Amino acid sequence: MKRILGSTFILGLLVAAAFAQKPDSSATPVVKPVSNTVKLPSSKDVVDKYVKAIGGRDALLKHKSRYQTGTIELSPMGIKGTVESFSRSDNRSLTKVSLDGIGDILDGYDGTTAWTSNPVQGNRVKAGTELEQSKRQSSFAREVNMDKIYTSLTVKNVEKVGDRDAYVVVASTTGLPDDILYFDTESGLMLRSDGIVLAPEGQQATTTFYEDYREVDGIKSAHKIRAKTPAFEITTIVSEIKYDVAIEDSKFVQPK
Amino acid sequence: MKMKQTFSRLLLTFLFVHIAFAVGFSQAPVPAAEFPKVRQETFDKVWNTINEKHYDPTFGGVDWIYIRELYLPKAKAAKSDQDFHNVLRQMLGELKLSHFNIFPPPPAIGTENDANASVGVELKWIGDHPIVFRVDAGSPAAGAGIKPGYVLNKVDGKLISETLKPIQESLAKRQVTEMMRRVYLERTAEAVIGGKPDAKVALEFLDGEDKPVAVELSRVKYTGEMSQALGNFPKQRVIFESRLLPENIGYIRFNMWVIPQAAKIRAAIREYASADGIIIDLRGNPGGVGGMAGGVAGLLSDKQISLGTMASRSGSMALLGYPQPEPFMKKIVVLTDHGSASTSEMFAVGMQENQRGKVIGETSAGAILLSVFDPLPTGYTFQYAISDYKSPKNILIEGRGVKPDREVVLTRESLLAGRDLQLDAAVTEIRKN
Repeated sequence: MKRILGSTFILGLLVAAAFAQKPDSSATPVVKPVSNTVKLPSSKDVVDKYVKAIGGRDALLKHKSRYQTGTIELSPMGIKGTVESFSRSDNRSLTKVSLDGIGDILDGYDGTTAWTSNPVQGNRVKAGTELEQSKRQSSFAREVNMDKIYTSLTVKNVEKVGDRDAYVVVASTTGLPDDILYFDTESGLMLRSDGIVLAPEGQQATTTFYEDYREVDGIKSAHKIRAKTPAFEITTIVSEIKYDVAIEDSKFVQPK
Repeated sequence: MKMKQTFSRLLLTFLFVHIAFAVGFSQAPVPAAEFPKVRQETFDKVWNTINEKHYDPTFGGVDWIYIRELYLPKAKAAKSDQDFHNVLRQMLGELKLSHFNIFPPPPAIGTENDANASVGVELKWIGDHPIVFRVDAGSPAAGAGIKPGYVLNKVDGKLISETLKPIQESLAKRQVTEMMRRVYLERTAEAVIGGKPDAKVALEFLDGEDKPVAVELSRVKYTGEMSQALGNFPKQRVIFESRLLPENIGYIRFNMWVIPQAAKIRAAIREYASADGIIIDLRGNPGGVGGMAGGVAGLLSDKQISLGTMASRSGSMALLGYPQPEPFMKKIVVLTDHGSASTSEMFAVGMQENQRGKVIGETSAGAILLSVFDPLPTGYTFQYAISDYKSPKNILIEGRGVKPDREVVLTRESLLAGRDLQLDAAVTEIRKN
């Protein structure tokens, strides 16, 4: 019961921030106040433990590229498809979601330009805070660069994520809404993140759960990711991860 | 390492499905459910979903708790599966909004068209009569000499007015707009003359002199393009027409906003790059994928264009069109009528209020909400709205419709004379300086 109440409480607060029109303090996910009886570690300790838990700094930095593939399902609409993700250590990225009945939805960053392309709305180049958010998300080994990606990391509390205790870390960047990250107090793994996805259409509060961690080439990563919004849930099942595959520059360039 | 969170934005900004009328669904009854528990779960899911997700937490003044108390006994008393789902429909009807419905399970794969064979006529409700608006080239109706402007008078020997009497009475008790009333009557009349492929139907029309024209026609199965199912939203017919009118004006018509139409619309707009204007005919178009309205708007504007906002219980989101390379920047006219709904209304009012095009014809259906399709434990599908829609000038279109810049109504006389007054007015609008 405590777990359900905790999740509902936080989601209820996030709902008020969903779809707001521009970044402001109200768009920042809210964290429960810290309990006086809980002794909290430093954010550096939490992040270091996380990096160690997923394979360590050396393992994360030795790779030059990553390719992921999997399936994706949107509920309650019942839309299904596949997802491919290409990324390189020079922080270029491409995500391709192929949905049944729709086609390919592309989202890329070529090191300078962040862009999207889909069969419904056509092509678009991102700007402003949306561009900055794309840059942040394209960071290849973001786990070892969290102190650079975020201007501050603050451990705020311990909360339940499922049946696990998790350190709640508020990750701030100037000009962008905060991310709230939840790390397992025992294993160190990231269990959940709360954030605001920025788009010209508005802002989307999203809670993401990371589950089914498995090791591939010395790096542990979640193989089931559930992104929840007030109205929808998107579940991604990762089926394959490959490191150091050759990915050409052209992969990251916006199609005409 | 985590997958990018941008999935949610990528997907959510354009996956909103707006369907005002269930044109693609079979209304055939299904066997009764054997387990009351399934019905209880279904009732709970429908009621709870509205309670938790309806975009208006006040339910438009409806006491939703009381509605449960009122309808649960009726649901428990239902003697058949069909009766049970009718109770659910009546319960949703208390909200007095579009985009809330319960649909039977789709037919088995390969049989989706079997109940929807037609003789090839499209009807419009004009002057309180079902009038032939279009006759498909090469169809049984065309072969029998049926022409636009004819009145459908009898089906299998029974007056259509008698056949439609129950729905007329039902509509009179419900708070539906005149636009929606006409749509329901048109769709019902078309359903009455449609049916299984190759089955014959005896029809009597009244010609231009009101003389009976009796024909016996074989229904023909639709063999044209179908869209893919979009999750729980079933596959739909893809009917597209484009041509260059003699006045050097492009004409584009499509039956629904479904994904395969996007490439066809884009290609047609590119093809008419040197035309003096483009007419986009959305008459009878019930909507479809909401994001497509922005996609087409982006082909017709050199700047980002807002088509309005959608407000859910938790906030609002804009619907935008992003300028695409070499947009068509000459005159645009959008044709609407009472059957233009949802995404069609969003596009029409967006063009109108951004002063990017004129709307000509009749007031649209006023049926525009953001909805999703969700399966129920009984196997039926539940459509419910999760947000409203307001135009770029913040006008609620639900129940109101899009008012045309120039109102032009169809008349039986003009159809008999081979003229489409609304299309003529659109041509005149583009030709004037």
